[in-house]
Amino acid sequence: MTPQPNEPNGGRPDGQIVTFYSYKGGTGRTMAVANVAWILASNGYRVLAVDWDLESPGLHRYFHPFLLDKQLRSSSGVFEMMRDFAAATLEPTHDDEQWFGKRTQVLDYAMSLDWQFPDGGGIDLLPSGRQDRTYARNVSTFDWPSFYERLGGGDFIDAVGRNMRQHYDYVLIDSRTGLSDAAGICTVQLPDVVVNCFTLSTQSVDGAVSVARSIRDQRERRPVRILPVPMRVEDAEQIKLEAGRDYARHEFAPFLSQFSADEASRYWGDVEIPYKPFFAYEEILAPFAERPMLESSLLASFERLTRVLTDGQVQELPPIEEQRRRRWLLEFERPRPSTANDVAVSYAAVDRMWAEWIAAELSEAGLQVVLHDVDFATGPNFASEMEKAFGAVGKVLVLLSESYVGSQQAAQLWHLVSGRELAGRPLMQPIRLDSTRLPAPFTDRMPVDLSGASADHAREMLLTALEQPVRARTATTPDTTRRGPRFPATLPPHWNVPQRNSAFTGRSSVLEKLRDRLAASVTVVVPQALHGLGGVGKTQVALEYAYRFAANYDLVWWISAEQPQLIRSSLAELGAELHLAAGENMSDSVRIVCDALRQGRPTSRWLLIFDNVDEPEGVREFIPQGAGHVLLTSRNQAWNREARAIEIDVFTRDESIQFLTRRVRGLDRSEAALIAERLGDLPLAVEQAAAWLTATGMAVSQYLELLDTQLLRMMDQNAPSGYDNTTAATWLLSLERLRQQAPAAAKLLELCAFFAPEPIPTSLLYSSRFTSLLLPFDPNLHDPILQGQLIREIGRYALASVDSAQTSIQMHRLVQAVVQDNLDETQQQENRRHVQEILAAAGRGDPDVLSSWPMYARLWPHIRRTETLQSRDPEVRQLVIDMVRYLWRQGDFASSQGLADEALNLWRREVGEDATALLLSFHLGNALRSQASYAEAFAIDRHATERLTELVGGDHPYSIMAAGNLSADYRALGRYDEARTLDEANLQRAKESFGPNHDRTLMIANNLGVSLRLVGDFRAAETLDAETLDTRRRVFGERAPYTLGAAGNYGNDLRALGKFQESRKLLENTLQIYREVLGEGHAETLRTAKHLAVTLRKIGEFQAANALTIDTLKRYLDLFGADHPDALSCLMNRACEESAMGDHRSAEQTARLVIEGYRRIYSANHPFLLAGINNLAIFSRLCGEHAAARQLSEQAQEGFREALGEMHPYTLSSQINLANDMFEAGEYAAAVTLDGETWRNLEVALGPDNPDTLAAAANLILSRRTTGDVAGARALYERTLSTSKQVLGDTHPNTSAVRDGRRLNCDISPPPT
Amino acid sequence: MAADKRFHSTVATIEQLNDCIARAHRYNQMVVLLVDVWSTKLGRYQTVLHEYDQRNEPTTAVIIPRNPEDAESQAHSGELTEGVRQTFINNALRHDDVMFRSSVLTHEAFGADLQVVLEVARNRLFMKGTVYRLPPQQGFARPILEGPS
Repeated sequence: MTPQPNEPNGGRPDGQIVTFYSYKGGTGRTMAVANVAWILASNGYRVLAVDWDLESPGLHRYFHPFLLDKQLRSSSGVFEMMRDFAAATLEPTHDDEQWFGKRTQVLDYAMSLDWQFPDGGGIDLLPSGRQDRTYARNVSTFDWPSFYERLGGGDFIDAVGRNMRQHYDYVLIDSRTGLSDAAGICTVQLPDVVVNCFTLSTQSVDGAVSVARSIRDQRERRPVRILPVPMRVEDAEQIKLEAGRDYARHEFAPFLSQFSADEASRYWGDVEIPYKPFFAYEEILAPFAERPMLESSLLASFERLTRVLTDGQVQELPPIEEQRRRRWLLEFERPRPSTANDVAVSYAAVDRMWAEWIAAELSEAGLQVVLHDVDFATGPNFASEMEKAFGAVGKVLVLLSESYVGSQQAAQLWHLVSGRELAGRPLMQPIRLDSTRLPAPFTDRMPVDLSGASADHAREMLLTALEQPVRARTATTPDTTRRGPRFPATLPPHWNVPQRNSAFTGRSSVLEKLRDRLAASVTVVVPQALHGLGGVGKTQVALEYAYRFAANYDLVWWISAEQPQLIRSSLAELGAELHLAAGENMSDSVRIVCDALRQGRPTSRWLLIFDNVDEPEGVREFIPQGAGHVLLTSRNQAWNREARAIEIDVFTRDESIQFLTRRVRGLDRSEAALIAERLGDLPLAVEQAAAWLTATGMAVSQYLELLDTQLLRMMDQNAPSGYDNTTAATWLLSLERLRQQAPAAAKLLELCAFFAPEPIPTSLLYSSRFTSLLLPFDPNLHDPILQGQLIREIGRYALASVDSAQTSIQMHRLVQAVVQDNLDETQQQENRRHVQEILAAAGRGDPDVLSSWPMYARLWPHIRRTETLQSRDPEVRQLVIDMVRYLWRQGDFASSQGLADEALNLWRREVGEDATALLLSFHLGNALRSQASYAEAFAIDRHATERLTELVGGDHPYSIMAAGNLSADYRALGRYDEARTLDEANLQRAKESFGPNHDRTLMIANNLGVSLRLVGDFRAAETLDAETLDTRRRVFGERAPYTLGAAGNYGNDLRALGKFQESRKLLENTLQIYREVLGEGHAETLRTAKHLAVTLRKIGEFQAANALTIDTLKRYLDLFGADHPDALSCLMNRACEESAMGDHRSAEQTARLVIEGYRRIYSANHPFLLAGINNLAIFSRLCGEHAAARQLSEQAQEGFREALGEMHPYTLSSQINLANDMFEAGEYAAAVTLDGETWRNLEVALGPDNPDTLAAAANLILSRRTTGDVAGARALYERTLSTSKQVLGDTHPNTSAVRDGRRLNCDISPPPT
Repeated sequence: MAADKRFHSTVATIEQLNDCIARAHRYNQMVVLLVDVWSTKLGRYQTVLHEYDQRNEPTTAVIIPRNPEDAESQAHSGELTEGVRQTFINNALRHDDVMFRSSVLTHEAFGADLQVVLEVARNRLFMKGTVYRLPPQQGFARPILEGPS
């Protein structure tokens, strides 16, 4: 059809409304709208592009070179259209019958693009609305429910839709994301077609599907066409990409039911939009950015999408003449002119006030400003974060100062911004705040120099640099009515803050948090309290806050608040400073000051800082109300409950290093890190160290030695400026006070000093073992309420910190050192022993039980530091063993091995190799095997088994456990026969020793089942596993995890023996229970789902199997990533299903991915890898690659024969395939021989009724026929067909193959070892 | 300024305030009270304004310009602020920072504030005002999308 330009009501059919929707942002939806619109218009269609993303409009940016009002400052749009209608309903005069129709005229609001499209085509843009200062407010306060329910807005929108269809061939709507009203209008009410855009993440797909469902349900009477379109598709990791595609296709299948499988496949191939980084930051139309006719271009993908949308009417974009294309590309790339909302200020945290002052000045001049801390974004995303922050602004102000040029990001940012500049349009304007000498690259352009300038002059220079008119400020604005910050170069008029610490480092996030919190409370004073350990730098933070944000205040008063009388006199001084009348006494004067501050006299911009407060009660009466700010510092944790508290922690390691390297000349980062570690990053101690090293010039190694031997003395050196006491002295003073006032609390603290400097669970402190040690100091401590009191006492002196929920208490390592040092040698040893016993007596539970793990996790950090490994106490040694077991169970194999090794060495030396030590070596064996150190594990387990048998006898539980390990080592080493022999003997002993129903006995039975399967004795495995399952069900119940595991094993056995329906029933049931008990996404649930998929495939239900596999695979990838054995075997299932459904090429590609993965995990002759090769051989042959297939089959068959023996079912399966290769190559004689041999062996190994045996028979029939043995073939045919009908059913694919004389292949899906 | 936003406007004195508001209610109009900060100190104005403060009028705005350059206002700054607070105590407590603007310092700020006031008041009218006419047919329910549960 030749498209004709449409005329309203000109007899032409109505146009179509196509909504582009995405559930989440960032899909590239808007870009798709713009490009499809362009392609349609270029093919002669009249197109209306509607920007209905009212909250964040952006469609116009793709068209800006062709718009007159590029910024949409004066153009109406969707919003005005809705609003004008709404206003009309409220107009009291109605003399106009046409009022409704008039307001539905879309042409009144749309604007045309200035571009000559061929054949009468064209694009009109209906923007979101007029982009002026009130736009955001207008949109956010417009009430859609009222619009619909009170004003009949739904009918209006419907009429607008009709009007659009009359005037245009295609109306493309760029919809709002999410579930908003606007999104509902665009997707449910208006469209004929919804293009549902999503990315391939699970969340995005799930969102898109539910919305599609929601649309369909609401449009039952007027069906809408829903086109799912994957966008931003990156082919980075192929397995994930494929899994994502499968997931999306599967989930969206109900919406594409009109398509055949082939059509659906073609559809998905057509609509996928690739990710092209070039388009991520620039809003450029693909027809201008890319040359035409490139297959992999973005343009090509939009052309394909347009083809789908128009049912093939539009095929491609008529090329734009090359020179013209290039000329317009420049228009796109030209930066948009600087506009009101686009100045970014990059600043160092220290200079935030400067940034705020500049922002205030520029806002007053009508510019919009965003502030950006130069250290905010770090790491690999730096560049893209910067693109986001600065990509759209017209100007970047860079505030150069000592701190700024010292920042690690500064130079990078400088290069990035200057790299974006075009000639003649400087984007960056440096501004100098101090007289620091500037290094390269900051010298490559002239800065505006504000250092030393007066406020007015600074303002003038700033505005001039930004080409803004400088209006003189009329008269001097008094500070009291100013709203923005004061000029930062001058201190507030009322100010008594002590000197700033020039070495202040870091703490940016605390300061910013403080700033935000103080600034947030405009009407009520909410004191902000900084609390934390002595020496942690609370006062320093308060001081820095006062200086850094001084420009926000006209009065800052520092009050030493240790004693109430000091507070009073300090406030009285403030009264004098403000020339307030003095009261009759001190209390009166204080009241007068507080009243004045409350009333905002002489200023409402005041800040009071109470430094070093003790109890909240002590200062409450001194805190004024009003609009000012109050900041407190305190060691007392009670503030936690009073004000909004911010805990000041020690330095981060980076902050310590930065501080030390800046202060100590020639110190490198690794040395600084050592010192910081030793001092626990305590700011005061770090500062002392810096002072010491600078003063003495001592070598770091020597200094560290001194710390080891004379920590206390070193810490008792002179306190640095800003601190009243040395750290150690402060702490000892507190300890002494505590000993007098609360001796039990002091004892508790002493004990805590011997734990690790990590959180100590309070449950340990409340344990009876702990309490018994405190009772001599305070007999009342039987009462837990009083124990809580103890912890509060400790919090008061900040010698340890208690977390807010009071679940743990933690002591700084230096405090511990000081407290330990304060005790004599005997006391130290005694305390250490107590702590070991406390740890051992803690109720920690069985390390095999999941619910015990949190407690183990809390104990683990304390194990080494408390010298637990050195203890000979049996209870303490058991703790060590349990800890090793826990670490192994939760997958931290290296730590498990490390702890076991260390303890074992100590025990052998101190106690000798007793049964406990050998038990520990059993656990060591586990840790080694899990890390694939099979030979080492084997040596250790064999030794343990032998020694234990000698020491305690073979029937002892320890010996049986060790033997179980040994058999696992045999299996891991591929010595399956030995494993089976050992397991059999071990099971017998376990039955006698533990009893037949014991958990351990059943675990060994489970292991024997695995061994039997591996040696190929499926029938014996089936019998044993059935028995195990039965016992577990009886003893532990149907729903216990190990019962379910046993059911899974048995289900696999049933399948291996060809009892498919039984296998299916059992696995379906097990999967159901797993989903209920452990959830959809648990590893065990997934494993069962994976097994069930194999069974379904064997039954011939390929679609069901595939659906299950797609879901399972997606979850595996989310859970484990692509390199996990289970994820890989699930992927192999997918390959088998693909092949079963006829797509051998995909199957082959998928199988190759699996094999690559297996090679990374397994040794060369591992059965899993060989199974993979076997399957790949089948797929390759089915793709017609006979030579490659033959080679792979031989490799699999030889590998299996070597690893598992010639009678193993896997070996025989691989032989079936090899014979197929021979047959295919015309080697009929060889094929008939091999088929015969395989069939006979399978009859022995699996029995005559097994599907694999039947497959071999089917192939043999064909070989016999081909080689002329017609009688032999016929005899076997009758028997095989009837057995197959009986076992598999009349319609099973394998039965049909027997009937039709087709050869059968044998893929292998081994169960886990 | 209002005309710029396609509004019609009329001016009324404080004596006409109650009538003006009543008419506004009837005809879906918006009222903007432009208050001289000193008037909160003058008895008869104060009474009318205080009476106004007793009612809740979400589509009526109060704008009080303050002149930072006027020395006399500055000298009585605290007193005037307190006067405004006392007169409009309910408005102050209501925290409607759109409709109650008690300290507009510059001409530019006044312009910007007025625009926002008018737009938001209009949106509020859509929720509360009297509907005089409706589209010819009725019956489109508000579409509501549902996401993943």
